Amino acid sequence: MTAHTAESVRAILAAALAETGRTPPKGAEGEQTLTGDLGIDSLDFVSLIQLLEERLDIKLSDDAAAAVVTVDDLLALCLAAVAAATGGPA
Amino acid sequence: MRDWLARLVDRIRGAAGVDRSDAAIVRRLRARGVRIGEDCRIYSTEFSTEPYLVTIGDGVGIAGGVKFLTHDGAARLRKARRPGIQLLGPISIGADSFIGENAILLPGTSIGRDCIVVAGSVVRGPIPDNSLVMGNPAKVVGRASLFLDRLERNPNALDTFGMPEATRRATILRHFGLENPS
Repeated sequence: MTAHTAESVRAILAAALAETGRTPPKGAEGEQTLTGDLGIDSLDFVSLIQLLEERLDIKLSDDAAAAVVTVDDLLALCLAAVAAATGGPA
Repeated sequence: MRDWLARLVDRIRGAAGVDRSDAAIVRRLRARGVRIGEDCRIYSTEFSTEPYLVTIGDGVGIAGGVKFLTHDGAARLRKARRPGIQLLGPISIGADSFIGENAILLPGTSIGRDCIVVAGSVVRGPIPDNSLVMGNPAKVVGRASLFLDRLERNPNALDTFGMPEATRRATILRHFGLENPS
């Protein structure tokens, strides 16, 4: 398993968000909502989660992932999952 | 011959405005040899020339325009060498799956249970359980269960199914702020 830092998780999330084609060129802001602000619909969202799980080597529960509202929520969820997978903070 | 006749009757009934409900479609498809489980909603009648090669599990939803292709017409290009050649493939859909509008299922497609095929997808080969599938060629993009959990939280997911039509219409128009059309 690749060791991830908080910075590498942020970078992977930013890249995955960019791949949805819904983020502005300068990137998404942490407080932006995925659906309302960025226009990430349910189909984009499922693809985004799949991408993050593959690149971070984590598994997010459907319940926790579906409850995500903002970019920061998603970052926090990924950081927690990486920490749980590696036994320490990302 | 029996299948040809059943399809002809289907067309005549359709043209005459005879019962085109999903229950009636299921009855007629079963008569044509499609194996259909219980509690299915099927709005497509495009079951190709070998409907008996299609198996549909319990609780499956199939939207309008979905095409089940159980043979590959390109095989005909070999007719000079093999006049009777046909390349065939069964199609199966696991229980509690949903196939979106105008999807095309190619010969040999085997969709697992609890899957969602997005409208317009062109699907072939095996699809694992709980997959969300989209595109041409269709790819598994994630978990169908996550899609449904997310969908439930969508502010436009209303509980309007089964309402009397007038109530449903008013509820939907109110939700979208369209009560007073000009």
